[in-house]
Amino acid sequence: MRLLWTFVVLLLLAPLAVTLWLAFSPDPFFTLPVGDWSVRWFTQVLASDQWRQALIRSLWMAALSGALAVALALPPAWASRAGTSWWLAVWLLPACLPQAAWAMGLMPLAGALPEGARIVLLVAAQALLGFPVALLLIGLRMDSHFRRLLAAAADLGASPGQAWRRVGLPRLLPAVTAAFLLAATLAFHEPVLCQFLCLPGGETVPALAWPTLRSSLTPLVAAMASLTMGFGLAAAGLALWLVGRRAR
Amino acid sequence: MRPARANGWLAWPALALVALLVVPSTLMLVRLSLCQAARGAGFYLADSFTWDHFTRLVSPEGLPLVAFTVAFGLAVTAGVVPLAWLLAWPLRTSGGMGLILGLLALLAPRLAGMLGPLVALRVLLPRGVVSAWLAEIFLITPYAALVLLVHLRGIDWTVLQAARGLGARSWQAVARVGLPLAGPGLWLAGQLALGWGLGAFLGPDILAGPAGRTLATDLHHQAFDNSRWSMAAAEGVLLLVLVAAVYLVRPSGWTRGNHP
Amino acid sequence: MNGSVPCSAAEDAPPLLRLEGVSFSHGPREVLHAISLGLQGGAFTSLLGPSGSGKTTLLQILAGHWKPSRGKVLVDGADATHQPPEARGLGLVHQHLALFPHLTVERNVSFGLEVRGVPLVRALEKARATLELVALPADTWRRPPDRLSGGQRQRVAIARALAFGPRALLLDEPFTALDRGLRQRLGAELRRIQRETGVTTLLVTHDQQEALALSDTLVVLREGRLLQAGPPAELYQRPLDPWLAGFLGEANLVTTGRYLRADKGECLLVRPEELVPGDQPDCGDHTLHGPVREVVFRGADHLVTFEADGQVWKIALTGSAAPRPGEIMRAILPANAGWNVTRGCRP
Repeated sequence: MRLLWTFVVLLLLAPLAVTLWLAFSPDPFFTLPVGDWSVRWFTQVLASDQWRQALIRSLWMAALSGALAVALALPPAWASRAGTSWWLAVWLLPACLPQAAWAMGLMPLAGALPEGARIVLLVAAQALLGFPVALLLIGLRMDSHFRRLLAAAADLGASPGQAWRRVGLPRLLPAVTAAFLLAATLAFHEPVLCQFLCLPGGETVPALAWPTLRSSLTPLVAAMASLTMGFGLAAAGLALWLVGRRAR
Repeated sequence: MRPARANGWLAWPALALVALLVVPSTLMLVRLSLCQAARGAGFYLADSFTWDHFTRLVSPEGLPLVAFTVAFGLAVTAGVVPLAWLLAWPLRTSGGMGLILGLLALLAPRLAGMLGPLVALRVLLPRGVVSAWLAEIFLITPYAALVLLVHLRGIDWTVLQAARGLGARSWQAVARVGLPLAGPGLWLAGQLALGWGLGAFLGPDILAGPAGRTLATDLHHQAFDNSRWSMAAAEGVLLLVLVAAVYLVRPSGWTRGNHP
Repeated sequence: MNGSVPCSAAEDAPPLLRLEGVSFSHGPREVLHAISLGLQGGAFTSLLGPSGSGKTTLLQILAGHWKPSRGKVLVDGADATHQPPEARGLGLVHQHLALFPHLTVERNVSFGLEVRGVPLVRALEKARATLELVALPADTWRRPPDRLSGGQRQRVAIARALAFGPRALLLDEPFTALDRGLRQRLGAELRRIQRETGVTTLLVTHDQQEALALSDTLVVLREGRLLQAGPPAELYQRPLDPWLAGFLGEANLVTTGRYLRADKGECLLVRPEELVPGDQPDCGDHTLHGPVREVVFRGADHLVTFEADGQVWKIALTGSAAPRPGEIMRAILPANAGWNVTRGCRP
């Protein structure tokens, strides 16, 4: 069974390895480089204004989405409004909706907003995709043991502010950081909402790559995809390490 | 310290944002789908009302699209659920670093984003429905496996040992005890796979071409290529109804083992 | 020390279950060391030891869920070391019971018969008969296990392990999660069932009182080694090891020379109940008197700790009167009291 598991995992990881491999192709069309490796596509991506701006835009929008997801998750996690069926159904609703249909419904609203507000709408929608993950991680950390620690601090004379500052927040920080990283990663990689809601010139990386994926594929996209994969895996790896550290 | 459950109002900001972004957009979609299409500027003709778009979807012209979407969703589910089982089952009793590494391996394909794998699949696979099907299985399986794993880890698996001690062979223990207990988790994973399979956009859009158009990709095509916003909205509403039907069905009377 | 359980007077038959030189290692740590042990057919044996002594490991090896690093497991004379659990015909009651939550009580109990190909109707008949044997009310038989009380679930687990007619019944600390009163009642029930069915039974427990009360034979493990095996009274009154003496109950381990017997054993074990309060010794008795350090009320008696002759003593006093700390306690060590522990007494 373990052998089969390893095989399936490798099968699922294989496309990632292939994309990375393709990104080092020396040729302007897709050949798997053997012997000759080139970083020209990575250089081109970082030198291209369009791609660079898309990357920067994706990063700060993802950071905002992650921060919003965490900020939204903290109160219901504390109020234990996470685990029951009905609440869970509500929190998972945005992630379970067909993204194309949801984005279609948001379009008239987005169309009526100025560009700045439109971006806020997109950030908020992306935050709702990462929100259930943030709620799960933070909710798990705010377990009965956590609450007993705060109560113990109060018993020893700490005010609520002191108890949170000296006991609660240090204990919560790894989970909050992990939640932020995972929610931001999900927002960073989200391709469908921006397809419908982003204005030309204001796309994120996945939305910018989309037309190329559909029609004229080049190793440039593979290079950009490799950069986004690296970001996503690094952020997620760090998040899981933070969560795993507390589990030991 | 006040009991936390007394502070239910703390959930209101998150609830408000979900409501704000889901309810008006859904209502807007419904409104748009019942209006006649506007020619030129605007999304729809105000004060108009028509069932035409829905009628078209259930007509001989539109039914193949709906039928293909449902069939595609079912096919994706049939591919995802066995793979999710293969991925989740060995991790059900893992702990510590083994579990962390297992989760990372399981989720890496999704945490790396969709762009990377789709580039590779686009290069390696020929255009067609099968390639789109494979791409959606690739994208959905990690999450389905995670949902199933969460369920499996809530079960006390010494029951399998107990079954073998009572005389059951390994396969009997899995068939008579393991599978029934895993049932609710498999159902949830299947619901997730079918819900996302019905709404599949990325795989069919990149890999299937016109022959493999689903409701989601046709929605995009109607809106951005044909400017038929009301038709696109009707397809969106139908998608929402189909997906809601999937998520609302739940068998009763399922049990699961609890940790001691 | 490795011990074999002595054959009872009535039986010359070889043991039903036998471990020969069984060792088990978990990584670099040796959990069990060269255990040789035999369980007589029809006997109730308790395997006793503190947490981490290897009791559960030994049980899992007997049941076939784990393989020993060295040694053999024999079931009914045949080498079963590499046999899978389902082929050994042993009924195991797990520590946390492991009842099948998706099956009713009677389907749980009939499971072992069904997987052996017994038709469902007959399997259910046998299951119901076994449920009656364990005195589980009939109105619970169609319920899922999570709708039963703790004691009821225990009965179901025992019935499930008995229903298919196992060669032996193995129980891994089955009463751990229960309160004291319920443990005692269920322990007595288990003993009744064992006597009625005659099934060879091995009970793993860390509860000394439970082990002493229920068993025909007691086997004690410590740190993966077999310390001593025999009837409970023998281990309680004549332990071979001072640690064992203290583990089985309150003990006075006397090292002062004048109390030791003529055979010059290393120390003398005197149980608190062997000391007699008073100061009228008979010929050969020793008198003890000294200040009381502590008095502990134990319900049925008081355990009084006092100092005499450079030694700390404990005496069990029944009745309502007990001295107070600081008062002088007078007691008699009868001439024939105590047992010479022949090893391990010197620091």
